[in-house]
Amino acid sequence: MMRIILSFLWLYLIAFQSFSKSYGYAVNDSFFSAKGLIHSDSTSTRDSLIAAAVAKRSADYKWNLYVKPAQGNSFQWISLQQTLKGASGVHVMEPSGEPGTIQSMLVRGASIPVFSAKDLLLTQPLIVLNGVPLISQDHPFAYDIQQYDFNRIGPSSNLLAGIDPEDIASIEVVKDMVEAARYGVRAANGVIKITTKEPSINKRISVSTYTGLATSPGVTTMNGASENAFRKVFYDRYATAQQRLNIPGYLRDSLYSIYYGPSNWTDLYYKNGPEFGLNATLTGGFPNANFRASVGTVRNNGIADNTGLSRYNASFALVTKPTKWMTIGTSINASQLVRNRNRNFRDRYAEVRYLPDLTNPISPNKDYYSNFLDQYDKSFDKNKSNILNGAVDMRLAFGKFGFLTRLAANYSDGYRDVFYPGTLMETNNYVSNYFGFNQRILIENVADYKLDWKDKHHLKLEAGQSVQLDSYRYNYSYAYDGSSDFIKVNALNDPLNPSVNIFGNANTVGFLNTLIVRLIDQTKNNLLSYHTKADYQYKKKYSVSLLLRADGSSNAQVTNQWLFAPAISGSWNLKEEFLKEAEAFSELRLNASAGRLGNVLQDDRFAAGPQYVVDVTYTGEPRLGNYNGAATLERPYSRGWVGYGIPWAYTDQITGGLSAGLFNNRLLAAVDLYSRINKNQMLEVPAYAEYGYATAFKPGMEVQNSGVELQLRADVLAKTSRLKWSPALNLNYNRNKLKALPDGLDKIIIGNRLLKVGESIDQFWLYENEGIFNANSEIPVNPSTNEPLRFQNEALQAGDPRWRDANGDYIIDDNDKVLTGHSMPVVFGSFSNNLGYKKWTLAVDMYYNMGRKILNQEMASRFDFINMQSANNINAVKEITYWEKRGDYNRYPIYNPWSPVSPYRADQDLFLEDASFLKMRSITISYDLKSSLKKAKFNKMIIWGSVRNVFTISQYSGRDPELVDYTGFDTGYGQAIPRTYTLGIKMDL
Amino acid sequence: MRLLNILFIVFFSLSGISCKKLLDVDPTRLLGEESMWNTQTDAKAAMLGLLGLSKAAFCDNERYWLYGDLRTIDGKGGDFRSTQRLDLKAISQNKLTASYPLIESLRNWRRFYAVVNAANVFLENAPKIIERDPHYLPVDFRIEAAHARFLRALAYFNLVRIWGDVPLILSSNDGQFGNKPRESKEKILAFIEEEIKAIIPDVPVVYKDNNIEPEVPRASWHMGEWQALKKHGAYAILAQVYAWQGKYADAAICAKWVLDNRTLQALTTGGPSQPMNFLSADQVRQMFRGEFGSNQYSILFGFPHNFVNGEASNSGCLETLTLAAPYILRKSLPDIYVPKDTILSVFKEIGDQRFYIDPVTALPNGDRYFGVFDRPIPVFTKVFIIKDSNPPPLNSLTGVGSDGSITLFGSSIVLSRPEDMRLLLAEAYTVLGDTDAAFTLLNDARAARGLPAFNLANGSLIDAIFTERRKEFMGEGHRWYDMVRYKKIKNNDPAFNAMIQDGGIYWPIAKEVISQNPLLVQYPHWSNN
Repeated sequence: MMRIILSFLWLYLIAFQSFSKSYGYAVNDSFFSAKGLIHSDSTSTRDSLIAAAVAKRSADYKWNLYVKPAQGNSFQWISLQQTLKGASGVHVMEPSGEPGTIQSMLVRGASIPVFSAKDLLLTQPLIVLNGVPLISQDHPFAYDIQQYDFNRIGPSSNLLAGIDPEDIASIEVVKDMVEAARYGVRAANGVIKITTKEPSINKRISVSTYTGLATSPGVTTMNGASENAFRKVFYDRYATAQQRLNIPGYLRDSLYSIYYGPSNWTDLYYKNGPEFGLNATLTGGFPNANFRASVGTVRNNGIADNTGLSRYNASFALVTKPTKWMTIGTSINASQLVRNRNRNFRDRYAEVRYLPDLTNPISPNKDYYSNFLDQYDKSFDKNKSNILNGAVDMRLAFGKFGFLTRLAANYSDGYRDVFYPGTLMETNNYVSNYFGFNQRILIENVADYKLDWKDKHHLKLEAGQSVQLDSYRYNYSYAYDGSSDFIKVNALNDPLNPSVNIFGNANTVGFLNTLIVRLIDQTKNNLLSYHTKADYQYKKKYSVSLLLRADGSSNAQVTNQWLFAPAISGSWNLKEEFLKEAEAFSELRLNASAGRLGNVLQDDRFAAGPQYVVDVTYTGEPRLGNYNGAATLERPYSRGWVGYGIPWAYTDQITGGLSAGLFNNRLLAAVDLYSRINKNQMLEVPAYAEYGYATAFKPGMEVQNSGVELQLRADVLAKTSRLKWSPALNLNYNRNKLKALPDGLDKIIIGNRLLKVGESIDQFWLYENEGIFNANSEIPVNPSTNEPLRFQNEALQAGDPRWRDANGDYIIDDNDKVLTGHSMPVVFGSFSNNLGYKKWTLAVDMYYNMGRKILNQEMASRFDFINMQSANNINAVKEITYWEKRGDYNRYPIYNPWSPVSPYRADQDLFLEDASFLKMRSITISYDLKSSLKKAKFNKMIIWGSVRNVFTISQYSGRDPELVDYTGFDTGYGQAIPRTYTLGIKMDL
Repeated sequence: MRLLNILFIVFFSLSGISCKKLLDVDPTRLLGEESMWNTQTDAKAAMLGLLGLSKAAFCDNERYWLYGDLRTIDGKGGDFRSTQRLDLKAISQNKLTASYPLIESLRNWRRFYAVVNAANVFLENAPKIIERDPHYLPVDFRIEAAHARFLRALAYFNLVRIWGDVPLILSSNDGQFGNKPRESKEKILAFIEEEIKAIIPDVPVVYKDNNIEPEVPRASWHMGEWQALKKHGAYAILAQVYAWQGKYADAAICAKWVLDNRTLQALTTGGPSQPMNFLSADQVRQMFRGEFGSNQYSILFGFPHNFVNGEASNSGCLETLTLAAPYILRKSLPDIYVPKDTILSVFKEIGDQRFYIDPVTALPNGDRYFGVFDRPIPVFTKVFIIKDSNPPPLNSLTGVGSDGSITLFGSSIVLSRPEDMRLLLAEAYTVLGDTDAAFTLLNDARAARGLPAFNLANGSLIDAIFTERRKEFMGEGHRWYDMVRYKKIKNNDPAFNAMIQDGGIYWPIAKEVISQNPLLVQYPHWSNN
């Protein structure tokens, strides 16, 4: 594919070279730069976001805040999410340090309670690349055939790690409702706007390269002896004679070197991960046609389990101005992500869809562990994603009239080919192949008209229309028990002519047809939008914008296909109005906006209303659709009832703020307040059991997010000072509240969560632990029945936890559980300091979360070892990291682990911990060599060094409190985010 | 061409003409209401869906066997025990209010109601196809409606014997799903009887390619390796329904009809030979196979898990719970097993082809029922269908392909077979006082397993019949219901009679279900929990 793109670029270059000779004027208003105010290759290491914001505001009446890629001249984070960590209004979740894995973002909080990976996708903000709304994640419909949603089938890579930060000029978190609404209904969860660097007539070659090392963490390992010592306390205190005999096999014999030998698996599991990055950019052209082309590659190795990500990028942008009134912009960004995945047992079992015997864990000794790893030499697990974004924009300008037409395509595909040899899987080998794509075609036309009157009144009118055609598809197949570990055939190949006989496999090559499962799914949806917008500005004092839009979605029901929504925003320049003479104030501005945006549905099943699907699945068989070899059709009993009358869900947001610049903008401050209500949202609730349904999708949920965003920046020392010091603080406060549930319900239990109107949607629902009953005599007795306190239907006994009987009925049950803690931070943000002295600069970035809790599931499982060894389910899988000492064992009382009440159940506040943290995210030092190399023709020459993830301060007793997914449960699966040392150089020729 | 299309779209979207067309995207993943019930194919897909849902209702979380084989009367009387899993242990101790996710799922009846709803939807909508598709004849509808009504009755029979009083819902109520209270089990059982009786004339005694009975439909969906409902299956389930109510005279009539018509001439002429034979001890295992040979035709009614159609599965079969090493490689211990002392106390008679310990060698006679008897935890191998060669003589470790690496199980769910009718008839005759006939039937059954005629010196006739049932149907989901019927016949256990009174012989209703439908009231036996 790369070759095609490159030849495409080549053609373009040739075409425009010849083209340019006939025209002779300069392109100075390339629309790519229409609003580009910030260039990340400006010389200071970190232009403050606030400075940018204020600069933006003074230049434009609109009220926007910018976030810039951190340290344009030094390290660039791999993914967009990492780049945005700490940005105003954005909460980023990075649940694993494994390179290339899915990360997620919430702009101004979560719009719905998140129960699954699928729900999480519905909360993600829209990413807009040069005006084109991107498909930034794989479509969640593949989860329909999965029993577990740890990973989506396919490469499951973070597509937002596919954008090369070297190509990015600016990233903006859009906060103004009119501007957000301008990007359409997909913007309801917020908009992240990315502008790439523009073509330039300056002939320039820029090269940026770095190399670094992610260092493996120091961990304490355990073996059978330490595990046995841990368990001995429980056995000594509580075990019956029978239970003493029932010690699991692997701990039974202390001479058993597999488990009792040295625990040195870490030598093979944790490794230092080298990293490398290179980007070369070329700009140039002719006055009427100029371009920017860049290629880049990044290799990022994880520190654990041989994981890593390689990225290859190529981008090309060209602006031409064939006539006075026409500008044509073309841009193509292509990238490929190749990911080495972890070798977790859990993920493999989820992929192969069955569980082996989980009684014995893998050996902590590297002699045995290496035998296991050697089996992977016979396997493969290839994960590749290709991403291609292309756009052609044509802008016409006739005096006051302007016209823009745009054709854009956004395509990404993913491949995953897996082979596990029989030696990994009870002699039964496994192959699976996945191919899937996401595709969006955008066609947009916008006409505008500008009017200026007496240099006081400025009016701009705009009307536009757009069509988005989305298409998603995957082909997936898997097969078991091939004839040999040397035949790793692609199960996707030639499904119509399998070379196998159906039963015996004696004479078969490859996989039996009866043991191959092939799955295909496809969904399409279209979005049609019209909008009109008016901007009015008076004397740089007041400005107001009004936008009206109508959106029709093919995923909405016919009776509610269109949503009409307005947005309005205004800005008042207080400096101009009142403080023209006040020198202290260089800026003072008040902004407000309000508006409505529809939440477009992702799934085409809602458009149909009552429907028939192919689904005769049962637990453990989530893909079954046939009976006796023929396809079936039935109501969606397992997937949930969908009725008629589903309205558009929508978001109403009102937001306002004040920004100020003092003392010649040496002190900059901005504060924003917002309140966002998501209404009419659909919730999948347990319903209609007597009609066969597991759940029903019901509209009517309402969630409010409100919060404050504060940004401060100061140039502490005078401009004349040689030493420069600019601290910047970024503080976000967000609270969410459930305002209504479907059917007017007050509360609803879904899984292990309780949703209650008036409470937050990210709370844990837990029993309150108040210690231990050391003796039976301590257990309260119900005076009316003379029965002791019970947990559900089990009488409590000595050695059981003292759970609070909140309602005093002497039965501990759901009614005694309380909503407590937040899995998402209440306060979060960043604090950075930039120091400059002569040619040296030093940047220190800190990142923090406060008011957030983690439920330490990993510790609960560790203590619940009795239940864990008897439960053969996916949550009882013991990874190699089972032999890593984590957490603080002393926090927990010694309960009777054999008790039928499961004393170490995870749903109690015993395992809930404060997970607030402060992280030193990066320290970067750079030196400008340009002046030292005056004879060489460098425009720029900077060398830099950085350390990332320097340290974390937290009270959390587990590992890094960031390594937790959307549930707030620390399962222990996240790989550590490593401390990384990097050296780099950046030069412009 | 593509470019041209795009240009067209640009043009039309500019003019706004194609709005409606753009927003009208045909879903590829489902059928809307208006796209369904138009052709014969729709009826077939819905019919198969109904069968698939019925199968799912039985095999979800292996519930058919957990309800039938694992449950005990407070820890006594069942055959199976859990090795390690605490949720299964709770079921085998009759602690049905325990808070394990599995048990919560088993308390939830919605999968049986999915069958009821699908049947109601079918019965309301399929007649429309007769008008819309000339290929769909009234006779097609007649037999498919009979299936729908039968499967609905079967679902209600399971609802009523598992939960007692349950809501009786006979319309789809699409979109207006009202809550209904529990109806008395007598009313529901009466409904089940009427329904099955009503459909018996509509189903044939045999399905053939060259139809012998004129009413037999031409659609081929039932012509696979697996057969659809015949009169025999309907009578067999009806016999079970009568026996459950203690209406033994009616039960006897139905069971006798099945036994008398097992080998009708129509079943053997033309096409594959399909008589419903009594099976030898070896044929029993082949019967579960469901795909090859002719032993599966002996199943009076059940549901298959066919390899050939990709419907074999890691879960949803008895083997999921019972098989372990050395028969399959991925599990060292089964989830449930029959303890040795239970085996020895049940299979006491020397010469029982199913299982006995040879007094000379002190070794078992084979692994027809139990394997690796030398281990502390034997493996229940009676139902043991994993990927293997065609046709299998018997699954064994040495059989081609069945090395135990693949754990896709293919055993059928067998709701009734001729042996069930024979012993049910013996039970009925005993209760009705015709002990001679009962003796004959019991001795036939015993002879088929290599046992001598029963001697009253060894206990009462009814005890002997139930012991024979216990041995013959071990692992076939009958045990709990047999125990209930036995206790009712004996009527000598006040504690058990109290359980009948307060709903203790039923399952509690899931909290999740009660919270959706406040009209439901838990039985007193379970309401304290």
